[in-house]
Amino acid sequence: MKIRRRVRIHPVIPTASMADIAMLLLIFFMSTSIIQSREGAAVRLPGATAGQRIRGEEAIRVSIGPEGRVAFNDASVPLASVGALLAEKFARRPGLVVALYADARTPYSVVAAVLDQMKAARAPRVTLATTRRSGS
Amino acid sequence: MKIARRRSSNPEIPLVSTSDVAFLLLIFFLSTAALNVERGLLLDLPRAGDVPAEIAASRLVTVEVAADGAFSLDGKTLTSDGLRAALSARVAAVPNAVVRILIAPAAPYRAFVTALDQVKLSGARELSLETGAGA
Repeated sequence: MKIRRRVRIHPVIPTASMADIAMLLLIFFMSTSIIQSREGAAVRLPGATAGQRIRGEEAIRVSIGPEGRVAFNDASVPLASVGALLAEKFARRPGLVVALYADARTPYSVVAAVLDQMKAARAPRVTLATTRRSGS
Repeated sequence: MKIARRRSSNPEIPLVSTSDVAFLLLIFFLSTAALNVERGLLLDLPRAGDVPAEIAASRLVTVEVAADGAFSLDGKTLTSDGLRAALSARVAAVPNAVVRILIAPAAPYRAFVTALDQVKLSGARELSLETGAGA
């Protein structure tokens, strides 16, 4: 009797394309994280415990540097024009939230002036950006 | 004469570890992107047409922020931790308490945010911001 020889199969997971997939994902994450880095973002935010998450896509960014320099959606603007710019945005989308990124060292008078302009421009909600600080 | 045969070598770039490196970088970018969540203290601003509300003096709890960033509650100087404890007690004792934050214009924004943070943590629902006298 002829005994049939068993054919051995070596199971292999094809991993040749793994590097391509990884590189693709890598390039995607690299490019999106580069987009998130903001120009002139030399703002050191104050710490707070009660902070809630800011939804960046629904917010208008107003930042104030330590010397009181104001930026509207990352473009430098004079302090006096913030109200007009905000009013223009609200005319198109009334429900927008204004996110204020002010430096921890900025004198409050500058922040108060910006807040007054937000109020005049009928901003319904403002969120004061902070860094997370563990509860004490 | 014996002519030596040329050995043809196949030049190759070793690519075995590329996927490992790529995954390592991928995990790094993923983790840093997840950490990049922005947070903030949310304030509902008064509407433009709102009539300024009259608040009874008995409902007012006044927090003062001095130009040097020092805090005081109803005239008593406190640290930021002490402020929260004292505020929580005051807010719990006064029904419908309205916290009034009186900030010196020269006070650093950090001090204002700390005071606001403590007010939020104390459970106060209504807030009044006021800029103090002096330039």
